[in-house]
Order: sequence, then structure tokens, then C-alpha cells
Amino acid sequence: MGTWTDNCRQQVENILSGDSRQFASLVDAHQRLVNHIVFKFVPCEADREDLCQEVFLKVYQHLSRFQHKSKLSTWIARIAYNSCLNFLDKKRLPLFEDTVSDDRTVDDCMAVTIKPDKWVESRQTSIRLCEEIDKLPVRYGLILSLYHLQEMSYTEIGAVLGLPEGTVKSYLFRARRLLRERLKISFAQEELCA
Amino acid sequence: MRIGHMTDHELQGYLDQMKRDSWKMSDHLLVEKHLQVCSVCREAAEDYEDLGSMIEACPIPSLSPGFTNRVMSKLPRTNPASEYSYHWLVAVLSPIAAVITLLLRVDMQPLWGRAVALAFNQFYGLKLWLGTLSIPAFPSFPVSPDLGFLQSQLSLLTESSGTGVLISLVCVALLLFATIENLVPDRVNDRT
Repeated sequence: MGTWTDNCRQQVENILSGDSRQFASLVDAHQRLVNHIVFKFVPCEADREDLCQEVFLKVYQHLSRFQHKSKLSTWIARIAYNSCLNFLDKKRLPLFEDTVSDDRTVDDCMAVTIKPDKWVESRQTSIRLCEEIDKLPVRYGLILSLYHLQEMSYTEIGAVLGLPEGTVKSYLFRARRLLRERLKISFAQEELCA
Repeated sequence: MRIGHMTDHELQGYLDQMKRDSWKMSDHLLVEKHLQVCSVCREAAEDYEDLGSMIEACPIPSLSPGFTNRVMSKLPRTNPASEYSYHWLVAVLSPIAAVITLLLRVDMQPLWGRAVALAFNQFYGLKLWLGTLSIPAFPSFPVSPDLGFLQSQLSLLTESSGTGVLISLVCVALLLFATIENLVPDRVNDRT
């Protein structure tokens, strides 16, 4: 951990002193993260690429303000998230909210109790899951990505989105519960049709 | 051992803790015992574990090849560090300028005109703040270089009522705040 932090600090210092190759490696290392975030907000591919570029240009411009109080990836993710919000503001696109209560038991959650055998192994599952994730409110999808694909902690996700840890947890759990319910419904319908 | 089902929140929280190795032994034993006897919660736990694996296997479209090169070609020619010094130069100079402006103008007006004077000061303070580095604007700025005059204004300020001083300080604080805010454009900050 210490070595990793030292390397990060060194990389930032090198970039600040004008080492552009170090910045190129920073872009390589973080473009997947930035793309994950931007992908959730921006449907148009061309806009997405432009926005990703804009994010890294902001990272470059503001890198001297990075104080190593968080991980560099968290800081970059926050810039990406805020850039997306600015983008939506400019385009006057709304950002969702969802209202599902939190205190249901697992039994209550399963209005659909059918458990199709080996649903994980279905060839269609992955595609269907992606479709269902896309249908979720943007922030839910983003939290799922950051947690499962970027392996960020609740705290780090909270820092990116500017939300308390408890809210992040709540959104993450809701997102997974919605996905679980919707996938089950989807498979149940498929079985009925078959 | 608990009798009812676990809440969805409890179950997912437990599974996340297990996944990230941050579970407590006491909770672990309690939940494991419950899962052994409760098929509903066990099934839900299995579903969530499967769901997690499936999300992790989800494909995400990648950026087109050559993305890094395109970013690099758009970088400004200046180092990020030099831009940083410029911002901080503005940040340091602006409040100082605002303070000088206030010192030179506050209490030059009779009491009834103090509010107007303060507004006037703020206008000039803001003008100076916005154009700190635009040197040609300085000659037209009504600042006297006479140190004796500055001292007399200082003594006037300190001898004036507490309210006057307080208002002046609040104005300075506001200007300082505005300056710092201005340095954090596009909600970019290192806030964690």
C-alpha cells in the first residue's frame, strides 16, 4: 500500500514537472474507469469520447490541486462524474430518482418466487442483465459499476458521487434488489412462453 | 438464532462484508446459522452472489483505439504546475487588494453614508479582484500611495464602532470566500 501510494505521488510529481509520458500512462490506467462512468450518462458514442477527453484534460489542468487525501482514481472518478453532471445540465437532460422502500425482508422482495434452474448459466443472461442495468436509474447503474467492476468501497463511491456512505449502500442494495426481481420476472415470463 | 427472515439490507450487507473480508466473527456465525435453516434467505443469498458474478462479467464498450494519443495531442503547452501558481497568485493577491481597498475607503464617509461607501468599496474590491493582473487598470484606481494617509485610515477604522469593523471583516471574508470558490471551477476538488 505504501509503495503504491509513493508511486502515485511520484507519478503526479513527474506529471507536474512536465513529464507527458507519465500522463499518458495515467490516461491508459484510468480510461476504463472514466469510460465506465461516462458510459452510464451519455448514450451517444461521439459525445462519450469527447467527454472522456474533456475529463482527462481537466485532470491535467487541475492535477496540482490533488492533495493525496484520496486515491487518485477516486479523484479522477469524481471529476468524471461532475463532468457528466455538467454535460447533462448543458443538454438539459434529467437525472432520475427512484422510490423503493428499504425495509422489506427477502421474502417480501420475492413477489416472483420462481427460480429458474441455472439462470446464471443461460446464454441470454448476460445480455439481459446489461439491458436491465441500462433500465435502472443512472446513479444506481453507476454505483453497481463502481462497486463491482472498479471494486471501490462504499466510502470511495460516496466520495465520487458526493453522497454519504449510508446512501451509497442503500442505492447499491436497491439496485441489486431491482435487478434480481426483474431478472426473475424476465426468466419466469420466458418459461411461461416456452 | 433469529426467527424471522433477514431484511434484504441485512443480507446484502452481510454478503458485501464477506466479499471484502470485513465481516465480524459474531455476525458471521449468527448469519451462517440462520442461512443453514432458512431456505428463503439462503436462496436470496445465492441469487445475490450469482448476480454479483454476472455484473462483474458484464462487457463494457471500450474507447476507440488511439484514445490516449488523442488526449495527449490536446494537452495545453503549459505545465499544470505553472497554471497552479497563477491561480494561487490570484488567490493571494485578491484578498490583499480587497483589504487595502476597504482600509482606504471605510470611514471616509459620514455615518449615514457608510452603507453606500461599503457598497462602493465592494464594487472596487470586486473590480480589482477580477482584474488583479490587468495592470493597466491600476492607474485609474483611486488608491493613494501616501502611507500617512493609509495610517490615518487604519486608525480611523480601529477607532470606529465595533459594528463598522465587523462589517469590514465580513466583507473581507466574503471576498476571500468568493476568491476560493472561483478557484474550484466545474466542481473539481479533492474532497475526501
